[in-house]
Amino acid sequence: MLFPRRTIKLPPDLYEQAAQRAKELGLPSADAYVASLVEREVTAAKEKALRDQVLKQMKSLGYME
Amino acid sequence: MVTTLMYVDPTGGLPPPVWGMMLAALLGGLAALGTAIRLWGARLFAALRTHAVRFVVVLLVTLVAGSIMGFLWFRRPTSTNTGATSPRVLVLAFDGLDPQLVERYLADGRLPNFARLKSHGLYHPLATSEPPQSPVAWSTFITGEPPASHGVFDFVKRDPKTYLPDLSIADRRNMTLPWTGTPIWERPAVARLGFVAHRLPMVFPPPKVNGRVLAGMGVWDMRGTEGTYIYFTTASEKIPGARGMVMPLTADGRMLRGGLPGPYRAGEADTLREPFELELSPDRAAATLRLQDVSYPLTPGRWSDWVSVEFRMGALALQKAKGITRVLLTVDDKNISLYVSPLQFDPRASMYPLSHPRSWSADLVDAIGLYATRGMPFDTQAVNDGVLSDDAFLTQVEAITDESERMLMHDLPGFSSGVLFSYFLGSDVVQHMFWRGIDPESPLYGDAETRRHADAIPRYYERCDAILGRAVAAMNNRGAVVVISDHGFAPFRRSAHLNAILRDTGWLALKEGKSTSGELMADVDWSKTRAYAVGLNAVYLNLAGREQHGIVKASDAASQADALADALEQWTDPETNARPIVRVHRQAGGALAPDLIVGYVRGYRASWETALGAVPEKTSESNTKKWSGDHCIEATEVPGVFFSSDKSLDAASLANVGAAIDHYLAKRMTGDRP
Repeated sequence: MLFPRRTIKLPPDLYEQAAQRAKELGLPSADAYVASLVEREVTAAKEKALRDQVLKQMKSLGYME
Repeated sequence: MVTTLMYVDPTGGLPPPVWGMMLAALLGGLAALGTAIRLWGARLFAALRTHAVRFVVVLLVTLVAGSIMGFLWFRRPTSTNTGATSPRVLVLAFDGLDPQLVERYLADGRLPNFARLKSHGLYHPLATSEPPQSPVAWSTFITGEPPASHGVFDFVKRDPKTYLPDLSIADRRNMTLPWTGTPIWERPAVARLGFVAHRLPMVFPPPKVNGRVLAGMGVWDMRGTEGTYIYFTTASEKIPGARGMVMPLTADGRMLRGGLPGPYRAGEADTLREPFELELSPDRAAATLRLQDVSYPLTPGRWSDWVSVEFRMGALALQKAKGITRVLLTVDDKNISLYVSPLQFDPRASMYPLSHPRSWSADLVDAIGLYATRGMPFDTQAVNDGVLSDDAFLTQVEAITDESERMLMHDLPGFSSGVLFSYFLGSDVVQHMFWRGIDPESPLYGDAETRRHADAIPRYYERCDAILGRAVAAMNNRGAVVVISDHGFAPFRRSAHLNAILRDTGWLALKEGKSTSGELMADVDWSKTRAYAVGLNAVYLNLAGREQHGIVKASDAASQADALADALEQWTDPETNARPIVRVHRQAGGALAPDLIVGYVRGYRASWETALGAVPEKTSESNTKKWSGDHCIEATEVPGVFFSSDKSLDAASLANVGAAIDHYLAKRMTGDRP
């Protein structure tokens, strides 16, 4: 791999809870579970930013608010 | 899944970093020179020593010849003018000039120059585009084609794969013209004789023409929108629904400070701020704005002169963005506020080309002074939001109208052939904002501020008349003068919430447990929705294979569209018992085209919420905004106007005006009367 994976530190008890939740969801590891959460959150934030940008442009026209 | 936006400006208003490219080119050039010297250096220097005199002479001749050629290139004539006797047509375009009002004010004797034009030439209402919206109508004027051909159907377009809307007045994604077709400046006679246009709508980025074009409607502001105002205030109260940026003005005695927000890239932090200081005089009757080492005198309640600002961005802050704005200071017992009109690109050094040739936008500054470059340069949102007064707005309208007139009067003396197109948007916005003053049925008719400006519309018509008078005098009976408008005007008293109507008639479904939806159709259940509305006249079927979650089969599309058209035409406003929709038109034109265009009767319009894809509880309501006139209704209800000084130059519809002008010029070129 050209760029190695980055490491995120979690408090041990939180990591244990993440591992438990990953097992419940059938995910291979706590890492996979945390990665899926972060991906979902980042995607939602990007989507919101784009929607906000759309609204900003539309409302700046004057014909809609 | 990440939502992909098809049309959203990916830059937030900024072009690619040209400095980076220039630096790369410079480094590449230096590397090539170094390599050449290493390879052939000794032979090169020996040859130079032997032929030193010859080398210097050749170098000097090359430099002098290059300078002369460069000078001639920049000073070259930009049209193929063939002398003062060549045919020419002056087109004065007053956006939204309404035939009913024109005829009323003609009868009142308020428009003597229009009366003279009518009596010596001709006048009639001008059929407009369906729908009668400026982007659609001006694209029709430019191409001579209907929306199904030129591809602009509404102020708003939507991406069928995401259902998300975007504005159609500029193609931000591809940075190409937003319409397709053969434009008026490529018609044979116009192309040969030349075309000059001031603030021409729908041509951003400006196209190459035989002549000059300054882009109008479609040019965005420095924040990538049609106009984001910035309102600095010491007040702590929020302004509900403000569409501009409301920012703090921190006070320290008579000194106030703030940070002017600059451009940003979409998806990146919006943190670029240029600090400024505002110092009030002891009696608070005057102030000084200090921004980037320049001081601007301010008087409360009066617009400032142009204020310049330069933002620096990118690596090593090498990329520059130069802007201009005007500010308005308000001082009262409680608070101090500084209204900053949306930041516009400086025409002397714009990051985007604003004109063709590119240098013309700067040349115009030398000729007439600084001018607004934003395509829709009037701060209507700020008036509706209550942060700008009617007085301040009308002063802004006058200033921008004056700029357009100065452009016209500057170019008229040199206008010897072809077409000169001069555009005035003030007539449109004054009618949008002040129809309440001439409409006794408007909810705001009796309002004191409205009564004070009850004559705003007739006065602007008189202003148009005065511009016409000066232009006709300057034409000196040589060539034709044509006056056009893209649509007329009507009262906007009631709003139809089209998506709520679709919900109540069973065409649009909401998610479980929801009875309303916010903007961008956030809570629409696409698996049960057959049709939706977004924009000002457009309705779309939720078509399988076209829309992301389409359910209407292609084989059923025609019958479903007919059934929906019938349902909408039959719909009755429960509060007034009126039928707001006079006609629903089927629309062709490909995947981006709406399936239906809704034609409202005079007095109604799609609601503010419909335009953004919201679904409110009610199906209709009164419009209590200052924005009290509109034209986004049935096209036959709001035709434009057509005046011509020459009876042989006539057109029945906006789509035919370009061809009629070209025909007139062509006949004159061959010496025949058309």
